[in-house]
Amino acid sequence: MILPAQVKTGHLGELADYTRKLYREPELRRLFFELTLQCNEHCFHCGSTCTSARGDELSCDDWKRIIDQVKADFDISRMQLCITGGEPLLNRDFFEIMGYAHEQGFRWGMTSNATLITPQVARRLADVGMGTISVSIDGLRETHDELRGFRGGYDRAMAGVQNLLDVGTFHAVQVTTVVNHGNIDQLDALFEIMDGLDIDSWRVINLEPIGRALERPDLMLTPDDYRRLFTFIRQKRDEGYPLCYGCSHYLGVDWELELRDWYWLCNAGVYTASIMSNGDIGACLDIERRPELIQGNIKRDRLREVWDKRFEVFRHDLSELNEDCRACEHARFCRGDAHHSWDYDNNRPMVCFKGTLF
Amino acid sequence: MKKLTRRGFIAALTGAALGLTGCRVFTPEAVYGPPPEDVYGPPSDFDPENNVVETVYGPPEDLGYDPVENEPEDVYGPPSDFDPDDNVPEAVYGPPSMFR
Repeated sequence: MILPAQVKTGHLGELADYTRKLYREPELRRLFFELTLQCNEHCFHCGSTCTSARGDELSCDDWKRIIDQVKADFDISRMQLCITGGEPLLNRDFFEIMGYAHEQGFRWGMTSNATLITPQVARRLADVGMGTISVSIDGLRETHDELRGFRGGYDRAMAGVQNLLDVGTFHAVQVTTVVNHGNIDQLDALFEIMDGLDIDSWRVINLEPIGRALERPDLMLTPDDYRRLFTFIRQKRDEGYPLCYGCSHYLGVDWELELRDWYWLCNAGVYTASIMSNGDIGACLDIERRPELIQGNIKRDRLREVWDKRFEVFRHDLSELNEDCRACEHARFCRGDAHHSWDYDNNRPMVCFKGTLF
Repeated sequence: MKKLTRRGFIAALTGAALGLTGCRVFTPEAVYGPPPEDVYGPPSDFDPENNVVETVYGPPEDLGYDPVENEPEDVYGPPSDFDPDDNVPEAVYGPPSMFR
């Protein structure tokens, strides 16, 4: 254990108090740009239900205006742009938009399936200032291609990773693997593959009950799967490997700080906002896109005003909304867990590790 | 993967612990800087058990903490060396599910 449980408990208590302050005084540190919902893969677990068709999306000029606006209205010194999609490289103006953001002084990173990252593309990504990237590898070759609906996707993604590494100038090249009940047996084999790459970290996360994954309950992790997954991550970290779990959920005192380098805090609406491909403004892009959770649209609203005056729905403890959560002894630290996995119809968390981890 | 050597790992633990003290260079945000080995600087003879935890927080066994019966701040007081302002995920990646 990296710190004694009682020390972590103290930290979590202070973080709980700090979260109250964040609700009153949020600070935008992560701004997601969903550059397109177009994608060349068809992942069964896609949280945003991407398609191969290009919809009503913001133009290059729109994105440049947003960049100007954000720079004028926010302190960008502690902010990172997080570029995502769809597959962001399918935005035909990708390099112009991101080159402009770079010129304006923004730090930025990207998620990608890497199937389009040739050596030339990798070099261009460096030229327009990309600092970090996370590439999805969701299983061994056959499994990856099946899960992502793209034959040959695994080989192209691995080639993309290598092309990124060959550039050699990015701050971090990360691989992310979404673990489900069907691919969890491949963790050890995947580890051997990842260990053979010169990547900076391997992010191993669980399948979430959102988006298209809701159609595949058979692939959700069981409690035993979760314990197995988290034990795997902890063991590898103990051995010095740069594995990490994502920011998705509260893990309980014993597991907090063991699987990642920070304590759990749902960033939605307190550190994080998103601009969707159609201009809608929200918090985390994984949160269900229902009207009451969309805070505005960048075509008619200024992000600064929306950030300052709206977002109330994200700036409170979700546990307040559920009787069982309110009565739970862990509520002070988990606060009802994450917005992206909150069932807003029934006001309950869809993911809770009480009874599984703590 | 860029596995940390044992010395590097200990240095990383030092970094993580110092990060909790609010020293910004060791916070997760440092992922945007040089690779970890360079961030954490030269390895020291740091012993995470005896040097950081006990020095900063006092020996755990002296605290008498019972998480069931006690509110944490009543027992410990505010853990003044933890800076929650630095408790931000690494933003290498996308949203939690990374399903993009």
